Amino acid sequence: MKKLLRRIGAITGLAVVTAGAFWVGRQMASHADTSLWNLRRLIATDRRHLAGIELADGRFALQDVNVPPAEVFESVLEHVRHDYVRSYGTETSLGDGALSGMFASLNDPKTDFLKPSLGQAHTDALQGRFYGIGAVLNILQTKQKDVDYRYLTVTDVMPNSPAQKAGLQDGDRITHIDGHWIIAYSILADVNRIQDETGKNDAAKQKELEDVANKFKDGYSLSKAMELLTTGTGQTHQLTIVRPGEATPLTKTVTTALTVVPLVSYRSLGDGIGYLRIQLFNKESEKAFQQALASAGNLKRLIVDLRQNPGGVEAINAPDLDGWHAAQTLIGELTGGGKAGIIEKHPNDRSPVMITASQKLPIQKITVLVDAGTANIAEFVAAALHDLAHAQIVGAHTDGDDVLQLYAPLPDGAAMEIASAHLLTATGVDLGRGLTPDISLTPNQVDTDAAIQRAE
Amino acid sequence: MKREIVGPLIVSVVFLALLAGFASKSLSQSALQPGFHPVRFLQSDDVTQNPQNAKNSADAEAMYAEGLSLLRKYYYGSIGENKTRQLTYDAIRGMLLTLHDPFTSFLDPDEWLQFQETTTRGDFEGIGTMLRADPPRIIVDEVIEGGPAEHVGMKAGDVITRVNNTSVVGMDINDVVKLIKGPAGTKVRITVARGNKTIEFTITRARVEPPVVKYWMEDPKYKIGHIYLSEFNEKSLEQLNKAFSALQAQGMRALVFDLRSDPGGLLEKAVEIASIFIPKNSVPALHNNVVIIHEGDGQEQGRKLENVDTPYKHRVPLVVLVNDSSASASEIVTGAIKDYGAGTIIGQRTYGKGCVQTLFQLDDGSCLRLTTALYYPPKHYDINYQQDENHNRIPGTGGILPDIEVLPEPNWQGLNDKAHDKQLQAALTFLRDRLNGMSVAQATAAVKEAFSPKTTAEAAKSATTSSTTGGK
Repeated sequence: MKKLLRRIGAITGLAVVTAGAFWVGRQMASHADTSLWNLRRLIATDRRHLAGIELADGRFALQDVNVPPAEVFESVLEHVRHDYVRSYGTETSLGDGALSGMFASLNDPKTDFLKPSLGQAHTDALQGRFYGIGAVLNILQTKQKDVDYRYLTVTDVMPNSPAQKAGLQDGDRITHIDGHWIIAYSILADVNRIQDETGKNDAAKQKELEDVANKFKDGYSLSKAMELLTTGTGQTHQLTIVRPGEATPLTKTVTTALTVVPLVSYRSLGDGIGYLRIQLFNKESEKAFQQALASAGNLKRLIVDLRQNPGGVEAINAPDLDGWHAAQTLIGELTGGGKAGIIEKHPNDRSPVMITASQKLPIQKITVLVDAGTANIAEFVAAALHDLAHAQIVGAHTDGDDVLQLYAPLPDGAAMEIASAHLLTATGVDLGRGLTPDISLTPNQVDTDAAIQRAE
Repeated sequence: MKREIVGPLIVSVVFLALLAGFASKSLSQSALQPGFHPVRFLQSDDVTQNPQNAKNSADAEAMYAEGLSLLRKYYYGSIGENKTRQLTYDAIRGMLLTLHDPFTSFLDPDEWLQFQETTTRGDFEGIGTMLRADPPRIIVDEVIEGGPAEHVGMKAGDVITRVNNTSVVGMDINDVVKLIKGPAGTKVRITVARGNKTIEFTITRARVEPPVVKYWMEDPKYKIGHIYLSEFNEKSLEQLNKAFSALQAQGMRALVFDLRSDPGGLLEKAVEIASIFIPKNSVPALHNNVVIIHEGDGQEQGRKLENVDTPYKHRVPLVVLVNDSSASASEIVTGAIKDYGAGTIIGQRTYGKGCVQTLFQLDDGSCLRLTTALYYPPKHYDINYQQDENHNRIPGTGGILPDIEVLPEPNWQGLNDKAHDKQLQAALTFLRDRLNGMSVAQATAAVKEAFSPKTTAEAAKSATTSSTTGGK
C-alpha cells in the first residue's frame, strides 16, 4: 500500500512539475516576440527552407525564399483591403497599380503597362482612330555612362492630323510641351555631372543643383507627355522639337483632335498598274486589302505604299487589333508563300516564319514604297516581298523597329504591351537596322505623289 | 525502471513540457498577429499557374497573376524565379502607390533588415550624426555630443558630398546611411561642403547613443527651464523625469518644452507625457481625451489622460515650442496641451501627420508599413496635410497652428545657436511677462506684437525704404 501511494505521489509530483513547466513555457512565449524567429527555427522540421541574407558587416538574417511570391502579394492585398484606414480605390485601380509596377520593373520601353487613358488611346489608334496630335510616338531608350535616356520621338504622322498641319515629321524628337521639359533621364545624371565638374566652387555648384531640381520639378513625366499628346481633343499646345539636321530646336503649335485615318485604299493607275495604300495592319485593313486585291484582276505592276505605316501588334485576345496575322496574309497573297523572315522569340532562339498561301495573285511585278515612318511589321512585310517576290523597294531608309509587340487590352481600358520577339529578314538581317531601298528618293521626293510616279 | 535513467527522464520530460508550452503559446499567438504564420512547406503556385482559379477576374490578384503569366509566357527576355520575385515586389510597390499615402510603403526582406539595423530613433550609429535630406543634398542636422563626428570637428549644417569617395549628392538618405554605418572601430572618410570650403574627415566609427532629452536653466534670473525632447521612445519619460527633478531642484518657475524637429515615435509615450502637463477634468467637454484614434472600420476611441509617475507635480507657466518638423507624437502632445489650455504654443504650424502606421511582417521576410489609423486632437479636427491633384503636399495645410506664430530666422543653425533663435526669444519673452504678472492673454498679445511676421515684415520694409532714400 505504501509503495502504491509513493508511486502515485511520484507520478502526481511529476505531473505537477510537467504542467508547471508547460505553463512557464507559455509565459515565456507571451513575453518573447522577436525570439519567436529563433523558436520557429527550432521547431521547423525542414531547415532547408530558411536561407540567409548576409549583411554588409558580416551578420546573417533570415529570409524565407520558398514562400511563393503570389502569397506575398496576396498578404499585402489582404492588409490593404482590411486594415488600411482610408479608401483604397477599387480592386481594378489596385490591380492597375500592381501591373504598372510590375511592367516598369523590366525597364524596357517596348514592354509597358498603359494606364486606362493611355491604353484606350492606343487601342483606338490601332484601329485607325487617333486622338491627341494624331501621330505615332515611340520612346527610344539609350544608355550613356550607366544612365538610361528616354526620348519621345515621332515615328509616323497621320494624314490630315494636327501633327501634319503643324508640320511635324517622322524623326522629330519632342523635348518640351508648353515650356515644360519632358523628363528624359534620372536626376542623378545631372547631379553627378555637376558634382564632377572642375573649376567651379561649391556655391556655384549648389546654384546649378537648385536649377536642376527646379527643372525636374516643373518637368512632365513621359506618361503625362503621352497623355497630352495621344488623348483628348480641342487642347492647344506648344511643342519644342529637336529635328535631325536642324541646328536649333523648332517650336510647333498643335491643337488636339480626333483623326480618323483611312486604313486601306486602292486605285487603278491605268495600264495594268494598281496602287494599294495600307496605313497600318489590323483585322479591318486585312479584310480591306484582301477585297481590293481580289477585285484588282491581273496586274502588270502593283505598287504597295507602306510609307508612314507604323506596322501593328500581335493581339492574341483581341483579334480585331491583330496586325501580325494581316501581314502574313498579305505576304502570302502577293508571293504565294515561303520563308518570309525569321522570328527570334528568345535570345538565340530563332525559327523561320513560314507562310503557306492558298493562292498567289496574278501580279507580275511589285514595288514597295517606304520611308522613315515605315516601321515594325510594315518593314517585315517590305523585306518579305523583296525576298520572296523580288519586289523593288523605293523610297527612304526605314525606321528600324524590329520588336514584335504582344498587345493585351483590359476591360477598364488599360493595356499591356510585351516585347515578344525580334524580327529578322529571311536572310538573317536584323530589321533593327532598317531597310535600305533599292531606289532612294530624297526627302522631298519621297513625301509626295511624285514617288508614286517614280515607282510606276 | 532503472534508477539511472529515471533522473534524466524526468528532466527531459520537464524540459519538453517547457518547450511544448512555449510552442503552443507562440503558435497560437502568431496566428493572432497579422502577417505571422507558422512555417509553411512548399505550396503550389495555384493562382499564378491558373488565373481562372481567382474568384473574380477583376480582383487585383487575378490581374497581377495574369500580367505575370503573360510575361513569363511571352516576354523576349527570360523570367526565372528570382525575376518573378522581383516583379512581385515591384508590383506590390506599384499597387501601394495608388493609395497616394506617403507613409505607406513596402520593404523587401533586404530593405526591411537594413531598416531594422538603423535604429528607429533616427540617429545613425557609426559616426554619431543626425542627417536630414533636402534633395538633392544630404545635410548634417545635428552632431551628437561626445560622438566621433564631433570629435573630428564636423558641424551641424555641413553638407555631406562624398562617403569614401563615392558621391552621395542626390542619393536616397537610406543609401547614404548604409554607406556611413559600419562596425565600431572601422574607419570611414566623409567629405563635406561647408560654405565655400570642402573638408574631408576620416572618422573611426563607434556606438553612439544620444540622450533623447536635453535640459538646462535657460534664464537663471527668471528661473525659466528649457527641456528639449528629440523623440518619443522608451527612454523619453524617464529622461524627462530626470530633467524635471534637476530643474525643480534649481527652483524652476517656468518651462520651455521644446519639440522642434521632433519626428514623433511611440503613441504610448505621447499620451503619458501629455498627461504630465494636463490636469484631469480641467475641461469637461473634452472628456479627459488626450487623443482620439480612428480606425478603418469607423470606430473611434479616446485615449485618456493617465496617472503618470513624475516628479513634476507643481505646474508652472508653460510654452511648447514647435516647428514644421514637429510631427506625429509631438503633434499629439502639442494638440492636447493647446486644446486644454495647459500651455501656450509658440513657433510654426506643425508637420501635419495625424495618422498611425502598423508594421506587418510578412512570411518571406518583407515588411508592409500601412496607415491603419487616424488620430485627432481632443477637439477633433483633422491635422493631416492636404495633397493637390498631383498628390503633392500643399504647403500651409495640416498641422497644429501655434497660439503665437514665430518663424525661425533663415540663418538659425540649431539648438546651440541662441543668438539667432527667434522662437526661443519669443518663448522667453512670453514667460518673463507671465512671471511679471501678465495674464496669458496679455502676454500673448505682447509677444505677437513684438515677434509676429507682419511686424517683422513691415520693419524690414521700412528698413529698405530708409536705405534707398539715404546715401548717394
